[in-house]
This record gives sequence, C-alpha cells and structure tokens, in this order.
Amino acid sequence: MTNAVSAVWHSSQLLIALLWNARSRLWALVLRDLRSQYAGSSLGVYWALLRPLLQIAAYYFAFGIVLEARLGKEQGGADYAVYLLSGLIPWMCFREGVSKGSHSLVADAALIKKVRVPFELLTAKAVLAPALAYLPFIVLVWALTAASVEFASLTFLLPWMVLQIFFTFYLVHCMALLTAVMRDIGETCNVVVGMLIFFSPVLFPMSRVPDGFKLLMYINPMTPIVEGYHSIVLAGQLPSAGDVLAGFVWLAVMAGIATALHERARENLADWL
Amino acid sequence: MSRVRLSGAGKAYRTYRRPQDRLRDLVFGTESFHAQWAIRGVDLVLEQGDSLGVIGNNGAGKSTLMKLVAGVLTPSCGHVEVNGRVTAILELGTGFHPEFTGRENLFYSAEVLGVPRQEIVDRADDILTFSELGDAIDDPIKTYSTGMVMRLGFSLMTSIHPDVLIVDEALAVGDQIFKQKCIKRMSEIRESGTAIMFSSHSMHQVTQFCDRAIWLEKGSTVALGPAAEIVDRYVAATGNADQGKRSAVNDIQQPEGQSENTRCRVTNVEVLNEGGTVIRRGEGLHVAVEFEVRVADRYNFGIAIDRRETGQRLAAETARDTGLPSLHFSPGEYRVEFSIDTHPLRRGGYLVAAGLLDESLLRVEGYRLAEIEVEDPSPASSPGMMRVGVQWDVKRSHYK
Repeated sequence: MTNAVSAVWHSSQLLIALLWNARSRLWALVLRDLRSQYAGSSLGVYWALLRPLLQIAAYYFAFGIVLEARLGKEQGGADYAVYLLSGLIPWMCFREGVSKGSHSLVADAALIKKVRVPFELLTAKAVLAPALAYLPFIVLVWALTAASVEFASLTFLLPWMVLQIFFTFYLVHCMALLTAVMRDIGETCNVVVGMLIFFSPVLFPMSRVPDGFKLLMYINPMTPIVEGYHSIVLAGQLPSAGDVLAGFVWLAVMAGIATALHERARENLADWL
Repeated sequence: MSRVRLSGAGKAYRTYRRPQDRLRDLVFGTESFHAQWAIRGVDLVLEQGDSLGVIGNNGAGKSTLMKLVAGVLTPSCGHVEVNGRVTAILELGTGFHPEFTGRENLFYSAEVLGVPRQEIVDRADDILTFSELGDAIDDPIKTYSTGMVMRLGFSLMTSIHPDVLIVDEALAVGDQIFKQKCIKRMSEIRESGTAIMFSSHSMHQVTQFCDRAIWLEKGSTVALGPAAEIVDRYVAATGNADQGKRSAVNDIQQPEGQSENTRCRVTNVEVLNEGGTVIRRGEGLHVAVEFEVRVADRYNFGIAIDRRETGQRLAAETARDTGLPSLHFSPGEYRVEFSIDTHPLRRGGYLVAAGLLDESLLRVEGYRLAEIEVEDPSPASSPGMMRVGVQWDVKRSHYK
C-alpha cells in the first residue's frame, strides 16, 4: 500500500515537472486549440463564453423557475441561483474536459505519429483549454457572493480548483489512453459523464436526495468536489474533512490508474492509434 | 560525440485482429499482438556534419528508421541514441492548422512542433524571405498549393539550426529551383555541424547532397557507404531504370502540374534527328520546343540532361549561358529549336528536359521531357560518366 502511494506521489512529481518544463509548449497547444475550435466563426472565441452562459440559463429556467427549486435551512437559505452557479460552473468545466479530453489522443493522432510530443501535454491541453473559458465565470461567482461571504474564505476556491483540475486530468488521461485502443470507450464515457450530473448535488441539494440513494451519489467522484464548492461559496467555510478526504482519495486512485496505463502505453501508443 | 548512434535497432509494429485485444494489452499488460518487423538490426552512426541518404523501395523501412531517430517511435530492440536537438520533416504540413494563415501557423504551430517561440520571432524575416511566399503568408494555408506548404514547412524547420535534421520525402514537391535552394540550405546547415538524414525517391537529389547512403530492403541494411556508389548499386540491383526515371520526371513535371502557372505552357518537346530518339554517339541532337505564352513577358530557355538510370544531372544550361538574353514574347504560340553536342555522352538512356524560365532565371515556368537513347558502335567498357574523346598517340621515345 505504501509502495503504491509513493509510486503515485513520485509519478505526480514527474508529471508536474514535465508540464512545468514544457509550459510554453503546453500554452501554445492550449491557445492553438481554442483558436482553431472557433476559427471561421464570426463570434470567434466569444462562443467559449456564450455557450456556458446559455446552458446555465437553460438549467436555471428548468429548475429555478419552472420547478421552483428552493434550498433547505442547512444551506443557510442561500439563493438557488448562487447555489446552481457554484456547482454548475465547475461541473461544466469537468464535463467538457472529459468529453473533449477522452478523444484528445485520437484527435491528435497525426501529431503523435509525426512529432515527438509527450502524451501528457496533449491530454493536459484538452483539460486546460475548456477550463480557461470558465475562469471568467469563477470571477462571476466570486462577485455574486463577495457581499454575503467573507472575502478571505473565497481564496479557498483556488486550491479546490487545482484539485479538480488534477483529478480531471488523471481521469482524462486514463480515458484518452483507453479510447486510443478502443474508440467505444470514449463514447461510453461521454454518455456516462452526461448522466452523472443527476447523481451529483449540482441541480438540487443533497438534502433532497432520499436516504437510500445517498450512497449512489457518493460513488460519483464529482460529488465531494461539488460539495466542497458549496461549502466555500455558500457558507464561506473550508470544504468538510470528509469531502477533502474523498477528493484526495479519488485523485490518488485516478493518478495510480493513469500512471499504470501510461507506463504500458508509452512505447506503443503511436502504433495503436 | 556522435549525433546519432543506432546499434542493432529494430522496430516491430504491433498489429491486432480486434480492438479488444489492444484493450487487453493496455489494461492487463498481456501480449496478444502480431509483431510486424518494419526494420531490424540497423547499425548506424552519424557524426556532426554528416549527411546520410536513405534509399530503398516503398515499404523498405525508410520512414520507420527516420521516425526512430526522430524519437516518434520507440525501438522494439537495440538502442537508438540521439544527442542534441532533432527536428524532423516527416510529412508536409504536420502541425499546421488549415484555417490559420501562414504567419499564424509559424507562431501557433512552430511551438507545437518543438520550436521555441522566441527562435521563430528572432528568425521570422529569414523564414519569410526563404519561403518566397510573399503576401500569401497572410492567407489561410488551406488556400496553399502543396508546394507552398512545403516551402513554409521547410523554411521553418531549417531556420533553427537543429543538431540533427531529418527530411523524409519532403523535397518531392515544389519546383526545381526551390528544391535546389532547399538542397543549398541543407548544405549550409550541414556545414555548421548539423547531421542530416535525407530520404528521397530522386537518386539525383541523394547523390547530389549526401556523402553517404544507406540502402534498406525489407527492413534490413543492404549496404551502407559512399552515396554515389550505393545509389549505383541500388539502381543496378533494382534493375529497371524506372526508379531513376520516375524521380527525374517527378522533379521536372512539377512546375507543369502547378495550376497557378497561367503565364505560359510548354506544349511539346520533340527530337528532330533523322533516327528519331536513337542518337549515334557524336551525332548532334536537334530538339524543338513548342510553347504557348499567355502573359506577355520576357522569358528565357533552359535545358537539362539527366542520366535516365540514376537521375544524375550531366548538364544544365540556359540560353543566357550562351549569350542569348531573355526575349520578350507577346501572347501566342511559339517554337524554338536548338542543338546539343552529344559527343561526351556514353551509350545509354538520357532524359532531355527543355523548357522556359522567367527573365531572372529564378523560376522554372514549364518543362517537358524527351527521352533519348545514345548508341555507340564502340562502347567504353570501363566505368565513368562520360566519354571525353581521348586521342591516343604512341611514340617510341628511346631506341636501344
């Protein structure tokens, strides 16, 4: 067990070193990705902001206005709109990272076969490019809650976001490698991640979930992460010890799997694609 | 320290019958693949300033060898050691995004290809000048011809003076003049210490540029040695003159194939000799070139003679070399006739290319080929490229 933990720790250090040393190349990949995605459209990169905005509006219409979702006392009677935003934005960031990232190695096959490029850069790019588009929305949440919540507590957002990004990266790296050898996995992954929103406390608070189904919610790795955001944004508190622990366990598990798969794929990925 | 060192290097591609087998290999580390050896047991050393031609038929393993050195593939056996920065042109326009302009691609894609942005900024002028793209640099590269993509890619990848440069078939497109410019650029960076690996179907380019050559067949080294010698052996062994001929045709037909040349067109090249295309050694060669001028301008004429078997260029001359200036042509159809002294040609097949150049002689406007066969009643039996017509005069200088 300790061996496994130290192996994961070691590989994470290597990963961070690799990403840091190649940071300008990674940045170029991210920019290129964002630019190329909207190349030829007249609104250009504004689509990256417009799309989440429309989605948030649609969710708010369905749940906030039509279904009149309200929060219980344990959320301190916070506004539903703020509750929705604080969970939905990180959620969409996660979902887009996974759906794009799981196909990233297949999409960049031509590059992998012709240019010497570490695969980690390509999956990291796929996670970071959509994440960048959500940064302005984080500021929005910050602005909305700055009046009710102590400013200092909002600085907890940053490390929690870093945790989410790293978790997403490891998950995406696994999925991208699996998709590279079998395309069906990427499709399956997209379907599952699309449904996962209903098994996480994004659209409704945890307190509305019947007790028998709470366990189902906690199988979803995004549940503790989303709950963490709620604690920070709504209550101005650190994420609960349970959420922090769950978040780190998921991170470690994903990192372990990703490291093992990566080790096997390293020499042969160019053949498999 | 050698730049590149391969010892017993080999690469087996893993092929699978079903994707499920690939998945099992990835997840459980099993080995349910069939190994297909692309190259095997290659030993090779490149020092600073070496230039190595890689020749062989399609499927011989040339690209695999180059990808191993480029670090894109990992060797399945043996060792591949590369010291210094490698840049590889393995395919035209890799990493370029079609929607981006040429200039945007320089900045967005160069770094993706592993060229630090700052180096591109420093050398942007040089890259733009060399590529000759002019204002087209600000057009999306989806509007470029393959020749233009090649010019941009080649200019970018050679502007940064890598320690090892790999050029795989990149010079198969583009016009003759630009290809010569590329060869010159490669010679320059070789002078500065870059080791170069170069593969081409044009034996002419290989012999012109490379000091040494490696000949691969079915993934193994057949021969490794001085380029001219290896090319001769390769051409002799593959028997047909086809290899050399096809490449010469590739080189020369390219400008005609470029749809952007609407200025003029060579419509016919014809051998006027009485014996048709069979020329007796010593007999003059008479050729007529018919061409159509669409845009009025000054043009010049050029001819080149290549050995059909090896693509070796024996002669290339423009009319200006003989003192004839570029002449002004208004739109219309024209015919020019010229003669060549075939005296130095040995018995064998030759390709005579005749065509038009622009006034400054920088661009080949159009070309056509004529194939000739030189007959020699008393063929020379010793090796050599030409017959220089030796006069033998034996005298007794001392009486006993």
